[in-house]
Amino acid sequence: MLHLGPQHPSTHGVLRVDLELDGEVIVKVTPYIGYLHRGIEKLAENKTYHQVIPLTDRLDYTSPMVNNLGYVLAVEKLLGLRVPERSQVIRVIMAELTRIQSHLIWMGTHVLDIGAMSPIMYCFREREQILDIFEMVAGARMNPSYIRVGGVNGDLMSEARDKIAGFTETFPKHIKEYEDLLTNNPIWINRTKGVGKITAEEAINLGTTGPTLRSCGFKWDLRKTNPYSGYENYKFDIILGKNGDVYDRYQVRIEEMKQSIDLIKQGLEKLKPGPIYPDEAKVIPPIKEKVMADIGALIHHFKIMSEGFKVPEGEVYQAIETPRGELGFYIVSDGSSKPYRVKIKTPSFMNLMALETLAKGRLLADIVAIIGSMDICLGEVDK
Amino acid sequence: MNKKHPAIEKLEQAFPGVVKKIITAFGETGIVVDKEDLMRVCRLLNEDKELRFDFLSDLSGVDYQGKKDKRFELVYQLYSTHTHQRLRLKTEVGENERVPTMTGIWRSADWLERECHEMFGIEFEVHRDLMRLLTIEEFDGFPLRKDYPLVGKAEIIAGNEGGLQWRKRE
Repeated sequence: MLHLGPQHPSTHGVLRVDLELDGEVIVKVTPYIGYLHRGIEKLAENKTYHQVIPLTDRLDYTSPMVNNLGYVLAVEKLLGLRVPERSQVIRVIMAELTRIQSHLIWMGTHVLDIGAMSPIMYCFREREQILDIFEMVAGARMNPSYIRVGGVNGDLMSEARDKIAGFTETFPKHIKEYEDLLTNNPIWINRTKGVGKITAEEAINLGTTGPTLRSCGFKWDLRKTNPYSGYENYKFDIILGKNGDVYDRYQVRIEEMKQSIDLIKQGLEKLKPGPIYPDEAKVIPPIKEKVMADIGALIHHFKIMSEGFKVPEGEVYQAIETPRGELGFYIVSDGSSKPYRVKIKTPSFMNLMALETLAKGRLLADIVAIIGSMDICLGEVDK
Repeated sequence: MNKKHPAIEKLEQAFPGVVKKIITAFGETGIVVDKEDLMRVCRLLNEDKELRFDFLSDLSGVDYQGKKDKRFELVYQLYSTHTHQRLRLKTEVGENERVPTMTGIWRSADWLERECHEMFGIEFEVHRDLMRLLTIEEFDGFPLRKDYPLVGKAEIIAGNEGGLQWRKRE
């Protein structure tokens, strides 16, 4: 019997795993979660729709923009809002930058767990560039709350645009650096090939999504199969692995980073001048100059800021593809300005359930590689 | 939307009268079934060769205290990884009522049911282990029920002789 965590660097947060061992072979795995439980679902019931957005940032703190997007899309579905083209493109660009950023953190820490010390330095160097872009665009590095109901908070400036374009030029070279360090590295291959195998049927039955599922060769990416935010207009293929082991998960994520760069390039081409918010005075706060000059705008501003906008009665489930898998928001509205119930289906929570299947029968040293390869984020698991 | 969801037609064919209500809104389809029918409905949806709802996206409880006859509603979000369709399956559950577990069909229901149990106090029958998942073991009450206060009922303080003590909030 061995306790791994909750304060163990390779659990990527506060996860405790009870391991039953026979010599060095793992017989039983029991994960214990909840050390980071903040009751986000309960909090959300007591806030207006707009006030919930910062809470979603704090779900998966390594990919905040994607969480914003999932929530906002669900609310927009309830409201029946049509988001302007420009905002949709900005959202996709931000979502893909977030995906790269999240994969970089994953790669740095995962590789560090297994024993390669240098890649994390390179990964965080590039991640910093993305965080600089976020700061430029949204004003915050980590919890930007940039994507808002109806559009985005502030237009994408030309400086930020140039910076993103510059990043798409330099980043592919850096991916090559990582690959030089790892892809053919015999130690890396020994530690990862054939470790933590799972078949596609098992993975689906266990509720696994994202790169962990795609590494088994199963073709399912919500961006492609159930597109949202205009993903249907972009050219890309679903990236697949073959064996469903730790090594394939690494390869899938590396390829996804390359693909994200391609998607950002396509997005920058699609970026045309235009409005970023729809013309919906009851939902979208008016611009400041108008509030000062026009009584109608002043009233709307006061109403939206004090009691929040009202959302029609009903219920929706909106799922999006985050760097970790399917993130779903189930929102029940009773017609008021606060959600009646928000249920958040987080990918890490479901992926962690597969840990037992993945680790059973493997050696003790492999559990670190397996936990790392699933790319769990405890903020998201515990909600 | 006039076109019926294929799953509803199949269900009506196999078990006439099982679908109590159909809700189509916002481009999504939801059906309401009785708690007693839940097991056979899920089994059919999962095993039918054309529907193949093989993926349980989410399971959530909703507390309708004072708004509906039966207090809770269980909501299953089903997804087919073959046809890429979604279906929302709902069933009403009263207080102190038991619901059959779906872990036999989708293993992913395991933690979802545990979470549902700790947040709403809904019992799942023959679930292997309904231990608390996100809150600590000594936690009292079901936090996502509407009558549970936002600040909580009690807080933990470190005891004098080590260990933890609960202090009730006024």
